[in-house]
Amino acid sequence: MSLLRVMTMKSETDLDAATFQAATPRAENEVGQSELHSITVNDVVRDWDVPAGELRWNVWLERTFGYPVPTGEAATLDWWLERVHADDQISVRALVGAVLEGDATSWSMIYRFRRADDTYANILDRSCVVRGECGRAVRVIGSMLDVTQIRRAQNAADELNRELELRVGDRTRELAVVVRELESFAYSVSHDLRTPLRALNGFSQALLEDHASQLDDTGLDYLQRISAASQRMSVLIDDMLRLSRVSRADMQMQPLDLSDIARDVVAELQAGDAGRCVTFVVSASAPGIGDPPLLRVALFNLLENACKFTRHSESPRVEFGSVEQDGRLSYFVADNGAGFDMAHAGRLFGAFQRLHRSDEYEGTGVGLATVQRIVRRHGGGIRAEAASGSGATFCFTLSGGEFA
Amino acid sequence: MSKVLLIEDNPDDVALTLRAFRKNNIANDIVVARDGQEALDALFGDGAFGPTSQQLPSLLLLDLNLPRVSGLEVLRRIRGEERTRLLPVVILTSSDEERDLIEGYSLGANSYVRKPVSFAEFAEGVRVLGLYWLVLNRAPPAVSA
Repeated sequence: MSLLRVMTMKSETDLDAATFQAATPRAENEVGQSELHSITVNDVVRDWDVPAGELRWNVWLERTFGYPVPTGEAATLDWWLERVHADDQISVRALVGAVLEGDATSWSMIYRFRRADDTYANILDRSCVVRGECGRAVRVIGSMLDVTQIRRAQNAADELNRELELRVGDRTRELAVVVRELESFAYSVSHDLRTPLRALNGFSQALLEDHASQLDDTGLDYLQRISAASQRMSVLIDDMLRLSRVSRADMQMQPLDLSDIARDVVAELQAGDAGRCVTFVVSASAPGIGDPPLLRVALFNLLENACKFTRHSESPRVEFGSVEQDGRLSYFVADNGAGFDMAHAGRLFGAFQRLHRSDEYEGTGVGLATVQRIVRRHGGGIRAEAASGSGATFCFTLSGGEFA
Repeated sequence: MSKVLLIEDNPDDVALTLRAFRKNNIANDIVVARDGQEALDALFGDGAFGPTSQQLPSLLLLDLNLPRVSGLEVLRRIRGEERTRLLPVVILTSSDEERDLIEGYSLGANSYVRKPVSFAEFAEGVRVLGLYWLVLNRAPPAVSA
Protein backbone atom coordinates (compact mmCIF):
# COMPACT_ATOMS: atom_id res chain seq x y z
CA MET A 1 0.00 0.00 0.00
CA SER A 2 1.32 3.38 -0.90
CA LEU A 3 2.19 5.60 2.01
CA LEU A 4 0.73 8.53 0.24
CA ARG A 5 -2.90 9.08 0.94
CA VAL A 6 -4.97 11.94 -0.29
CA MET A 7 -7.83 12.91 1.93
CA THR A 8 -10.87 14.97 1.18
CA MET A 9 -9.97 18.53 0.54
CA LYS A 10 -12.91 19.98 2.41
CA SER A 11 -13.60 20.03 6.15
CA GLU A 12 -10.83 20.88 8.58
CA THR A 13 -8.17 22.05 6.16
CA ASP A 14 -10.63 24.48 4.65
CA LEU A 15 -11.10 25.85 8.09
CA ASP A 16 -7.31 26.18 8.41
CA ALA A 17 -7.25 28.16 5.19
CA ALA A 18 -9.95 30.50 6.44
CA THR A 19 -8.23 30.99 9.78
CA PHE A 20 -4.94 31.66 8.07
CA GLN A 21 -6.44 34.18 5.69
CA ALA A 22 -8.02 35.97 8.62
CA ALA A 23 -4.67 36.08 10.40
CA THR A 24 -2.82 37.40 7.35
CA PRO A 25 -4.74 40.37 5.97
CA ARG A 26 -5.66 40.09 2.29
CA ALA A 27 -3.19 37.36 1.39
CA GLU A 28 -0.13 39.52 1.54
CA ASN A 29 2.79 37.96 -0.31
CA GLU A 30 5.18 39.13 2.36
CA VAL A 31 5.34 37.29 5.62
CA GLY A 32 8.28 37.49 8.00
CA GLN A 33 10.18 34.53 9.42
CA SER A 34 9.05 35.49 12.93
CA GLU A 35 5.45 35.45 11.78
CA LEU A 36 5.88 31.89 10.54
CA HIS A 37 7.20 30.91 13.94
CA SER A 38 4.23 32.38 15.65
CA ILE A 39 1.76 30.36 13.56
CA THR A 40 2.64 27.14 15.23
CA VAL A 41 4.25 25.73 18.31
CA ASN A 42 6.24 22.76 17.12
CA ASP A 43 5.19 21.77 13.58
CA VAL A 44 7.42 22.24 10.60
CA VAL A 45 5.81 25.08 8.67
CA ARG A 46 6.45 25.65 4.99
CA ASP A 47 5.50 28.81 3.14
CA TRP A 48 5.65 28.59 -0.62
CA ASP A 49 5.59 31.85 -2.51
CA VAL A 50 4.36 30.49 -5.81
CA PRO A 51 5.15 33.39 -8.22
CA ALA A 52 8.63 33.82 -6.71
CA GLY A 53 9.27 30.11 -6.59
CA GLU A 54 10.52 30.46 -3.07
CA LEU A 55 9.96 28.05 -0.20
CA ARG A 56 10.55 29.26 3.32
CA TRP A 57 10.63 27.11 6.45
CA ASN A 58 10.38 27.71 10.18
CA VAL A 59 13.03 26.57 12.66
CA TRP A 60 11.24 23.28 13.32
CA LEU A 61 12.61 21.99 10.03
CA GLU A 62 16.01 21.67 11.66
CA ARG A 63 14.72 20.34 14.97
CA THR A 64 12.52 17.74 13.28
CA PHE A 65 14.58 16.59 10.29
CA GLY A 66 18.09 17.83 11.10
CA TYR A 67 18.50 20.16 8.09
CA PRO A 68 19.73 23.73 8.46
CA VAL A 69 16.88 25.92 7.20
CA PRO A 70 17.60 26.62 3.50
CA THR A 71 17.71 30.26 2.67
CA GLY A 72 18.12 32.40 -0.42
CA GLU A 73 18.58 30.50 -3.68
CA ALA A 74 18.57 27.13 -1.93
CA ALA A 75 15.03 27.64 -0.63
CA THR A 76 13.25 26.17 -3.66
CA LEU A 77 10.31 23.87 -4.34
CA ASP A 78 12.79 21.26 -5.53
CA TRP A 79 14.62 21.28 -2.19
CA TRP A 80 11.45 19.93 -0.64
CA LEU A 81 10.42 17.59 -3.44
CA GLU A 82 13.90 16.03 -3.74
CA ARG A 83 13.59 14.80 -0.17
CA VAL A 84 10.29 13.02 -0.78
CA HIS A 85 10.75 9.24 -0.94
CA ALA A 86 11.28 7.92 -4.47
CA ASP A 87 8.15 5.76 -4.23
CA ASP A 88 6.01 8.77 -3.27
CA GLN A 89 7.48 11.19 -5.81
CA ILE A 90 4.91 10.70 -8.55
CA SER A 91 1.95 11.02 -6.22
CA VAL A 92 3.22 14.08 -4.39
CA ARG A 93 4.23 15.88 -7.59
CA ALA A 94 0.90 15.01 -9.19
CA LEU A 95 -0.99 16.42 -6.23
CA VAL A 96 1.08 19.60 -6.11
CA GLY A 97 0.56 20.05 -9.86
CA ALA A 98 -3.16 19.46 -9.51
CA VAL A 99 -3.47 22.02 -6.72
CA LEU A 100 -1.65 24.61 -8.74
CA GLU A 101 -3.62 24.05 -11.91
CA GLY A 102 -6.96 23.17 -10.35
CA ASP A 103 -9.06 25.02 -7.82
CA ALA A 104 -8.54 23.01 -4.63
CA THR A 105 -8.10 25.21 -1.58
CA SER A 106 -6.07 22.73 0.45
CA TRP A 107 -4.37 19.39 0.54
CA SER A 108 -3.74 16.74 3.11
CA MET A 109 -1.44 13.87 2.37
CA ILE A 110 0.85 11.34 3.96
CA TYR A 111 4.25 10.57 2.43
CA ARG A 112 7.78 9.65 3.39
CA PHE A 113 10.32 12.47 3.79
CA ARG A 114 14.08 12.00 4.07
CA ARG A 115 15.77 13.23 7.24
CA ALA A 116 19.30 14.65 7.26
CA ASP A 117 20.57 11.29 8.53
CA ASP A 118 19.06 9.59 5.41
CA THR A 119 16.32 7.84 7.36
CA TYR A 120 12.71 8.50 6.34
CA ALA A 121 9.94 10.02 8.41
CA ASN A 122 6.24 9.51 7.74
CA ILE A 123 4.78 12.94 7.23
CA LEU A 124 1.26 14.23 7.47
CA ASP A 125 1.37 17.28 5.21
CA ARG A 126 -1.57 19.69 5.41
CA SER A 127 -1.48 22.82 3.35
CA CYS A 128 -3.83 25.54 2.27
CA VAL A 129 -3.69 27.38 -1.01
CA VAL A 130 -4.10 31.13 -1.15
CA ARG A 131 -5.44 32.24 -4.48
CA GLY A 132 -5.08 35.66 -6.00
CA GLU A 133 -6.67 37.21 -9.08
CA CYS A 134 -8.30 34.81 -11.54
CA GLY A 135 -7.99 32.11 -8.88
CA ARG A 136 -4.29 31.60 -9.43
CA ALA A 137 -2.39 30.05 -6.54
CA VAL A 138 -0.09 32.63 -5.03
CA ARG A 139 0.88 31.01 -1.76
CA VAL A 140 0.75 27.54 -0.36
CA ILE A 141 1.21 27.46 3.36
CA GLY A 142 1.36 24.18 5.16
CA SER A 143 2.66 22.16 8.03
CA MET A 144 4.53 18.87 8.07
CA LEU A 145 3.79 16.70 11.07
CA ASP A 146 6.06 13.74 11.78
CA VAL A 147 3.63 10.84 12.30
CA THR A 148 6.27 8.10 12.22
CA GLN A 149 5.66 7.14 15.85
CA ILE A 150 1.90 7.27 15.46
CA ARG A 151 2.11 5.14 12.33
CA ARG A 152 4.43 2.70 14.05
CA ALA A 153 1.99 2.40 16.94
CA GLN A 154 -0.86 2.09 14.50
CA ASN A 155 0.95 -0.61 12.54
CA ALA A 156 1.66 -2.47 15.76
CA ALA A 157 -2.00 -2.16 16.74
CA ASP A 158 -3.04 -3.33 13.25
CA GLU A 159 -0.66 -6.25 13.56
CA LEU A 160 -2.06 -7.16 16.98
CA ASN A 161 -5.57 -6.90 15.64
CA ARG A 162 -4.75 -9.15 12.73
CA GLU A 163 -3.17 -11.64 15.11
CA LEU A 164 -6.18 -11.47 17.39
CA GLU A 165 -8.53 -12.00 14.50
CA LEU A 166 -6.49 -15.00 13.39
CA ARG A 167 -6.62 -16.42 16.91
CA VAL A 168 -10.36 -15.81 17.21
CA GLY A 169 -10.78 -17.49 13.84
CA ASP A 170 -8.73 -20.48 15.01
CA ARG A 171 -10.74 -20.78 18.21
CA THR A 172 -14.02 -20.45 16.34
CA ARG A 173 -12.98 -23.22 13.98
CA GLU A 174 -11.88 -25.41 16.90
CA LEU A 175 -15.19 -24.74 18.63
CA ALA A 176 -17.12 -25.56 15.47
CA VAL A 177 -15.28 -28.90 15.30
CA VAL A 178 -16.16 -29.63 18.93
CA VAL A 179 -19.80 -28.73 18.31
CA ARG A 180 -19.88 -31.00 15.25
CA GLU A 181 -18.33 -33.81 17.30
CA LEU A 182 -20.88 -33.24 20.02
CA GLU A 183 -23.68 -33.39 17.48
CA SER A 184 -22.43 -36.58 15.92
CA PHE A 185 -21.98 -38.01 19.42
CA ALA A 186 -25.57 -37.14 20.29
CA TYR A 187 -26.66 -38.60 16.97
CA SER A 188 -24.91 -41.90 17.52
CA VAL A 189 -26.20 -42.05 21.10
CA SER A 190 -29.68 -41.55 19.78
CA HIS A 191 -29.27 -44.13 17.07
CA ASP A 192 -26.76 -46.73 18.13
CA LEU A 193 -27.43 -47.12 21.84
CA ARG A 194 -31.14 -47.64 21.38
CA THR A 195 -30.74 -50.52 18.95
CA PRO A 196 -29.20 -53.02 21.42
CA LEU A 197 -31.68 -51.82 24.05
CA ARG A 198 -34.52 -52.66 21.72
CA ALA A 199 -33.05 -56.15 21.29
CA LEU A 200 -32.77 -56.60 25.08
CA ASN A 201 -36.33 -55.52 25.61
CA GLY A 202 -37.73 -57.25 22.55
CA PHE A 203 -36.20 -60.66 23.15
CA SER A 204 -36.94 -60.72 26.89
CA GLN A 205 -40.51 -59.91 25.92
CA ALA A 206 -40.41 -62.72 23.35
CA LEU A 207 -39.18 -65.12 26.03
CA LEU A 208 -41.97 -64.02 28.35
CA GLU A 209 -44.59 -64.46 25.67
CA ASP A 210 -43.42 -67.59 23.89
CA HIS A 211 -41.46 -69.55 26.51
CA ALA A 212 -43.04 -68.57 29.81
CA SER A 213 -44.00 -72.18 30.53
CA GLN A 214 -40.32 -73.19 30.64
CA LEU A 215 -39.48 -70.62 33.32
CA ASP A 216 -40.26 -70.55 37.03
CA ASP A 217 -41.37 -67.39 38.85
CA THR A 218 -37.81 -66.29 39.61
CA GLY A 219 -36.87 -66.65 35.94
CA LEU A 220 -39.91 -64.63 34.90
CA ASP A 221 -39.06 -61.98 37.49
CA TYR A 222 -35.51 -61.71 36.12
CA LEU A 223 -36.83 -61.29 32.60
CA GLN A 224 -39.21 -58.59 33.74
CA ARG A 225 -36.30 -56.79 35.42
CA ILE A 226 -34.25 -56.92 32.18
CA SER A 227 -37.20 -55.52 30.29
CA ALA A 228 -37.81 -52.74 32.81
CA ALA A 229 -34.13 -51.83 33.01
CA SER A 230 -33.85 -51.52 29.23
CA GLN A 231 -36.85 -49.20 29.19
CA ARG A 232 -35.39 -47.13 31.99
CA MET A 233 -32.14 -46.79 30.10
CA SER A 234 -34.06 -45.71 27.05
CA VAL A 235 -35.68 -42.92 29.10
CA LEU A 236 -32.23 -41.93 30.40
CA ILE A 237 -30.85 -41.71 26.88
CA ASP A 238 -33.80 -39.62 25.73
CA ASP A 239 -33.43 -37.26 28.70
CA MET A 240 -29.70 -36.94 28.09
CA LEU A 241 -30.36 -36.07 24.45
CA ARG A 242 -32.95 -33.51 25.46
CA LEU A 243 -30.40 -31.95 27.80
CA SER A 244 -27.79 -31.78 25.04
CA ARG A 245 -30.35 -30.32 22.63
CA VAL A 246 -31.14 -27.55 25.10
CA SER A 247 -27.46 -26.57 24.95
CA ARG A 248 -27.30 -26.75 21.16
CA ALA A 249 -30.64 -25.16 20.24
CA ASP A 250 -30.60 -21.83 18.40
CA MET A 251 -32.21 -19.12 20.48
CA GLN A 252 -34.53 -16.46 19.10
CA MET A 253 -35.09 -13.91 21.82
CA GLN A 254 -38.36 -12.01 21.86
CA PRO A 255 -40.62 -10.24 24.34
CA LEU A 256 -43.14 -12.68 25.76
CA ASP A 257 -45.41 -13.39 28.70
CA LEU A 258 -44.24 -16.32 30.81
CA SER A 259 -47.71 -16.57 32.33
CA ASP A 260 -49.09 -17.44 28.89
CA ILE A 261 -46.52 -20.21 28.56
CA ALA A 262 -47.26 -21.41 32.11
CA ARG A 263 -51.01 -21.54 31.38
CA ASP A 264 -50.30 -23.57 28.24
CA VAL A 265 -48.13 -26.02 30.20
CA VAL A 266 -50.74 -26.26 32.99
CA ALA A 267 -53.39 -27.17 30.42
CA GLU A 268 -51.16 -29.96 29.15
CA LEU A 269 -50.45 -31.22 32.68
CA GLN A 270 -54.14 -31.14 33.59
CA ALA A 271 -54.92 -33.22 30.52
CA GLY A 272 -52.49 -35.89 31.73
CA ASP A 273 -52.29 -37.75 35.03
CA ALA A 274 -49.63 -35.53 36.57
CA GLY A 275 -51.71 -32.39 37.09
CA ARG A 276 -55.15 -33.86 37.54
CA CYS A 277 -55.92 -33.01 41.19
CA VAL A 278 -53.57 -30.06 41.53
CA THR A 279 -54.85 -26.52 42.10
CA PHE A 280 -52.84 -24.24 39.81
CA VAL A 281 -52.47 -20.52 40.43
CA VAL A 282 -50.88 -18.63 37.55
CA SER A 283 -50.32 -14.86 37.82
CA ALA A 284 -52.13 -12.72 35.26
CA SER A 285 -48.95 -11.60 33.58
CA ALA A 286 -45.20 -12.17 33.88
CA PRO A 287 -43.43 -10.33 31.07
CA GLY A 288 -39.91 -11.23 29.99
CA ILE A 289 -37.56 -11.61 27.04
CA GLY A 290 -36.51 -15.06 25.92
CA ASP A 291 -36.72 -17.96 23.52
CA PRO A 292 -40.30 -19.31 23.61
CA PRO A 293 -39.61 -23.04 22.96
CA LEU A 294 -36.77 -23.20 25.49
CA LEU A 295 -38.74 -21.34 28.15
CA ARG A 296 -41.63 -23.71 27.59
CA VAL A 297 -39.28 -26.64 28.25
CA ALA A 298 -38.05 -24.92 31.44
CA LEU A 299 -41.55 -24.16 32.74
CA PHE A 300 -42.76 -27.62 31.79
CA ASN A 301 -39.98 -29.23 33.82
CA LEU A 302 -40.55 -26.98 36.84
CA LEU A 303 -44.35 -27.32 36.84
CA GLU A 304 -44.28 -31.06 36.16
CA ASN A 305 -41.78 -31.45 39.02
CA ALA A 306 -44.05 -29.44 41.31
CA CYS A 307 -46.99 -31.71 40.41
CA LYS A 308 -44.88 -34.80 41.00
CA PHE A 309 -43.75 -33.74 44.46
CA THR A 310 -47.22 -32.63 45.59
CA ARG A 311 -48.62 -36.07 44.79
CA HIS A 312 -48.93 -36.97 48.46
CA SER A 313 -50.04 -33.52 49.64
CA GLU A 314 -53.53 -33.19 51.10
CA SER A 315 -54.60 -30.34 48.81
CA PRO A 316 -51.85 -30.02 46.21
CA ARG A 317 -51.24 -26.47 45.07
CA VAL A 318 -48.75 -25.17 42.50
CA GLU A 319 -48.20 -21.49 41.85
CA PHE A 320 -46.41 -19.56 39.10
CA GLY A 321 -45.71 -15.83 39.19
CA SER A 322 -43.11 -13.12 39.14
CA VAL A 323 -41.65 -10.85 41.80
CA GLU A 324 -39.31 -7.87 41.75
CA GLN A 325 -36.22 -8.96 43.65
CA ASP A 326 -32.90 -7.10 44.09
CA GLY A 327 -33.98 -4.72 41.36
CA ARG A 328 -34.65 -7.42 38.77
CA LEU A 329 -37.70 -9.42 37.82
CA SER A 330 -37.59 -13.03 38.93
CA TYR A 331 -40.09 -15.78 38.23
CA PHE A 332 -41.07 -18.50 40.64
CA VAL A 333 -42.74 -21.90 40.73
CA ALA A 334 -43.87 -22.79 44.24
CA ASP A 335 -45.50 -25.95 45.54
CA ASN A 336 -46.70 -27.33 48.87
CA GLY A 337 -45.23 -30.77 48.22
CA ALA A 338 -42.52 -32.96 49.67
CA GLY A 339 -39.79 -30.31 49.47
CA PHE A 340 -36.23 -31.36 50.26
CA ASP A 341 -33.53 -30.80 52.82
CA MET A 342 -31.61 -27.61 51.93
CA ALA A 343 -28.43 -29.43 52.99
CA HIS A 344 -28.56 -31.22 49.63
CA ALA A 345 -29.51 -28.14 47.59
CA GLY A 346 -26.05 -28.06 45.99
CA ARG A 347 -26.77 -31.28 44.10
CA LEU A 348 -30.18 -30.15 42.92
CA PHE A 349 -29.19 -28.90 39.47
CA GLY A 350 -26.57 -31.54 38.61
CA ALA A 351 -27.50 -33.90 35.77
CA PHE A 352 -28.64 -37.34 36.97
CA GLN A 353 -28.66 -36.12 40.58
CA ARG A 354 -31.72 -37.06 42.58
CA LEU A 355 -32.78 -36.15 46.10
CA HIS A 356 -35.53 -38.77 46.33
CA ARG A 357 -35.49 -42.53 45.83
CA SER A 358 -36.93 -43.56 42.49
CA ASP A 359 -39.52 -45.78 44.17
CA GLU A 360 -40.84 -42.64 45.94
CA TYR A 361 -40.76 -40.22 43.03
CA GLU A 362 -39.79 -41.43 39.55
CA GLY A 363 -37.42 -39.47 37.33
CA THR A 364 -33.94 -39.45 35.84
CA GLY A 365 -32.61 -36.31 37.51
CA VAL A 366 -32.26 -34.39 34.27
CA GLY A 367 -35.21 -31.99 34.56
CA LEU A 368 -33.67 -29.37 36.84
CA ALA A 369 -30.31 -29.61 35.08
CA THR A 370 -32.18 -28.81 31.87
CA VAL A 371 -33.96 -25.86 33.51
CA GLN A 372 -30.65 -24.49 34.80
CA ARG A 373 -29.05 -24.72 31.36
CA ILE A 374 -31.95 -22.90 29.77
CA VAL A 375 -31.91 -20.15 32.40
CA ARG A 376 -28.13 -19.76 32.06
CA ARG A 377 -28.34 -19.57 28.27
CA HIS A 378 -30.69 -16.64 28.78
CA GLY A 379 -28.09 -15.01 31.02
CA GLY A 380 -30.04 -15.57 34.23
CA GLY A 381 -29.78 -17.69 37.34
CA ILE A 382 -31.87 -20.12 39.37
CA ARG A 383 -32.13 -21.03 43.03
CA ALA A 384 -34.36 -23.15 45.20
CA GLU A 385 -35.75 -22.72 48.69
CA ALA A 386 -37.33 -25.58 50.53
CA ALA A 387 -37.70 -27.49 53.72
CA SER A 388 -38.31 -31.19 53.97
CA GLY A 389 -42.06 -31.79 54.01
CA SER A 390 -43.15 -28.20 53.48
CA GLY A 391 -42.90 -27.52 49.79
CA ALA A 392 -40.31 -26.04 47.48
CA THR A 393 -39.97 -22.75 45.60
CA PHE A 394 -37.80 -22.36 42.50
CA CYS A 395 -36.86 -18.82 41.55
CA PHE A 396 -35.21 -17.90 38.27
CA THR A 397 -34.28 -14.82 36.26
CA LEU A 398 -33.62 -14.31 32.56
CA SER A 399 -30.83 -11.74 32.94
CA GLY A 400 -28.28 -10.46 35.40
CA GLY A 401 -26.46 -13.76 35.97
CA GLU A 402 -26.53 -16.09 38.95
CA PHE A 403 -28.22 -15.17 42.20
CA ALA A 404 -25.79 -13.75 44.75
CA MET B 1 -50.78 -60.86 -1.78
CA SER B 2 -48.84 -57.66 -1.70
CA LYS B 3 -45.35 -57.70 -0.30
CA VAL B 4 -43.37 -55.56 2.09
CA LEU B 5 -39.73 -54.65 1.57
CA LEU B 6 -37.95 -54.26 4.91
CA ILE B 7 -34.61 -52.49 4.63
CA GLU B 8 -32.79 -53.08 7.90
CA ASP B 9 -29.19 -54.02 8.64
CA ASN B 10 -29.51 -55.07 12.27
CA PRO B 11 -30.44 -58.79 12.51
CA ASP B 12 -32.04 -58.27 15.94
CA ASP B 13 -34.28 -55.56 14.54
CA VAL B 14 -35.12 -57.76 11.56
CA ALA B 15 -36.10 -60.64 13.87
CA LEU B 16 -38.15 -58.33 16.12
CA THR B 17 -39.92 -56.71 13.18
CA LEU B 18 -40.78 -60.10 11.66
CA ARG B 19 -42.03 -61.23 15.07
CA ALA B 20 -44.15 -58.11 15.43
CA PHE B 21 -45.73 -58.81 12.03
CA ARG B 22 -46.37 -62.43 13.08
CA LYS B 23 -47.82 -61.36 16.44
CA ASN B 24 -50.26 -59.10 14.64
CA ASN B 25 -51.25 -61.78 12.12
CA ILE B 26 -50.01 -59.74 9.20
CA ALA B 27 -49.42 -62.43 6.65
CA ASN B 28 -47.90 -60.39 3.82
CA ASP B 29 -44.58 -61.63 2.48
CA ILE B 30 -41.70 -59.64 3.88
CA VAL B 31 -38.57 -59.36 1.77
CA VAL B 32 -35.53 -58.22 3.74
CA ALA B 33 -32.66 -56.15 2.36
CA ARG B 34 -29.70 -56.03 4.74
CA ASP B 35 -28.23 -52.74 3.54
CA GLY B 36 -28.86 -49.89 1.13
CA GLN B 37 -27.12 -51.63 -1.77
CA GLU B 38 -29.21 -54.76 -1.34
CA ALA B 39 -32.31 -52.59 -1.36
CA LEU B 40 -31.22 -50.92 -4.63
CA ASP B 41 -30.45 -54.34 -6.14
CA ALA B 42 -33.88 -55.59 -5.07
CA LEU B 43 -35.65 -52.62 -6.65
CA PHE B 44 -33.51 -51.74 -9.67
CA GLY B 45 -31.39 -54.85 -10.31
CA ASP B 46 -32.51 -58.40 -10.85
CA GLY B 47 -33.87 -58.76 -7.29
CA ALA B 48 -37.39 -59.53 -6.08
CA PHE B 49 -38.81 -56.21 -7.30
CA GLY B 50 -36.50 -55.53 -10.24
CA PRO B 51 -37.82 -54.28 -13.61
CA THR B 52 -38.15 -57.83 -14.95
CA SER B 53 -40.12 -59.07 -11.93
CA GLN B 54 -43.27 -57.14 -12.91
CA GLN B 55 -44.02 -56.37 -9.28
CA LEU B 56 -43.30 -53.80 -6.59
CA PRO B 57 -43.77 -53.98 -2.83
CA SER B 58 -46.89 -52.22 -1.55
CA LEU B 59 -44.89 -50.88 1.38
CA LEU B 60 -41.27 -50.10 2.02
CA LEU B 61 -39.99 -49.96 5.60
CA LEU B 62 -36.71 -48.06 5.52
CA ASP B 63 -34.05 -47.76 8.20
CA LEU B 64 -31.81 -44.70 7.82
CA ASN B 65 -28.49 -45.76 9.25
CA LEU B 66 -27.42 -48.43 6.78
CA PRO B 67 -24.05 -49.76 5.66
CA ARG B 68 -22.83 -49.05 2.12
CA VAL B 69 -25.71 -46.96 0.72
CA SER B 70 -27.55 -44.89 3.34
CA GLY B 71 -31.30 -44.99 3.84
CA LEU B 72 -31.72 -41.41 2.65
CA GLU B 73 -29.77 -42.20 -0.52
CA VAL B 74 -32.00 -45.23 -1.17
CA LEU B 75 -35.03 -42.92 -0.76
CA ARG B 76 -33.52 -40.38 -3.17
CA ARG B 77 -33.01 -43.11 -5.80
CA ILE B 78 -36.54 -44.46 -5.32
CA ARG B 79 -38.08 -41.01 -5.80
CA GLY B 80 -35.83 -40.36 -8.81
CA GLU B 81 -37.01 -43.39 -10.81
CA GLU B 82 -40.29 -43.24 -12.71
CA ARG B 83 -41.20 -46.84 -11.83
CA THR B 84 -40.74 -46.44 -8.08
CA ARG B 85 -41.35 -42.77 -7.41
CA LEU B 86 -44.87 -43.31 -5.99
CA LEU B 87 -43.92 -46.24 -3.73
CA PRO B 88 -45.21 -45.76 -0.16
CA VAL B 89 -42.08 -45.42 1.98
CA VAL B 90 -42.19 -45.42 5.76
CA ILE B 91 -38.97 -44.48 7.50
CA LEU B 92 -38.59 -46.77 10.50
CA THR B 93 -35.59 -45.72 12.52
CA SER B 94 -34.06 -45.21 15.96
CA SER B 95 -33.22 -41.62 15.18
CA ASP B 96 -35.47 -38.75 16.08
CA GLU B 97 -32.89 -36.15 15.08
CA GLU B 98 -34.62 -33.18 13.54
CA ARG B 99 -32.34 -33.14 10.51
CA ASP B 100 -33.25 -36.78 9.69
CA LEU B 101 -36.94 -35.93 9.95
CA ILE B 102 -36.57 -32.89 7.73
CA GLU B 103 -34.41 -34.64 5.17
CA GLY B 104 -36.58 -37.75 5.17
CA TYR B 105 -39.72 -35.75 4.45
CA SER B 106 -37.91 -33.47 1.96
CA LEU B 107 -36.89 -36.52 -0.03
CA GLY B 108 -40.52 -37.65 -0.15
CA ALA B 109 -40.98 -40.11 2.70
CA ASN B 110 -44.68 -40.86 3.29
CA SER B 111 -44.28 -41.36 7.00
CA TYR B 112 -41.61 -41.30 9.70
CA VAL B 113 -41.84 -43.67 12.65
CA ARG B 114 -39.36 -43.87 15.47
CA LYS B 115 -38.77 -47.41 16.72
CA PRO B 116 -39.54 -47.46 20.45
CA VAL B 117 -37.35 -49.48 22.80
CA SER B 118 -40.31 -51.26 24.35
CA PHE B 119 -41.30 -54.28 22.27
CA ALA B 120 -44.92 -53.94 23.35
CA GLU B 121 -45.00 -50.41 21.91
CA PHE B 122 -43.07 -51.50 18.82
CA ALA B 123 -45.49 -54.39 18.17
CA GLU B 124 -48.41 -52.00 18.52
CA GLY B 125 -46.73 -49.59 16.10
CA VAL B 126 -46.24 -52.37 13.55
CA ARG B 127 -49.88 -53.40 13.94
CA VAL B 128 -51.04 -49.84 13.23
CA LEU B 129 -48.61 -49.50 10.32
CA GLY B 130 -49.75 -52.79 8.79
CA LEU B 131 -53.42 -51.93 9.24
CA TYR B 132 -52.98 -48.51 7.72
CA TRP B 133 -50.58 -49.11 4.84
CA LEU B 134 -51.58 -52.65 3.84
CA VAL B 135 -55.32 -52.57 4.49
CA LEU B 136 -56.74 -49.05 4.71
CA ASN B 137 -54.41 -47.18 2.40
CA ARG B 138 -55.01 -47.40 -1.37
CA ALA B 139 -51.67 -47.82 -3.07
CA PRO B 140 -50.90 -45.80 -6.23
CA PRO B 141 -51.99 -47.65 -9.44
CA ALA B 142 -48.55 -48.38 -10.80
CA VAL B 143 -47.62 -49.99 -7.52
CA SER B 144 -50.70 -52.18 -7.12
CA ALA B 145 -50.24 -53.57 -10.65
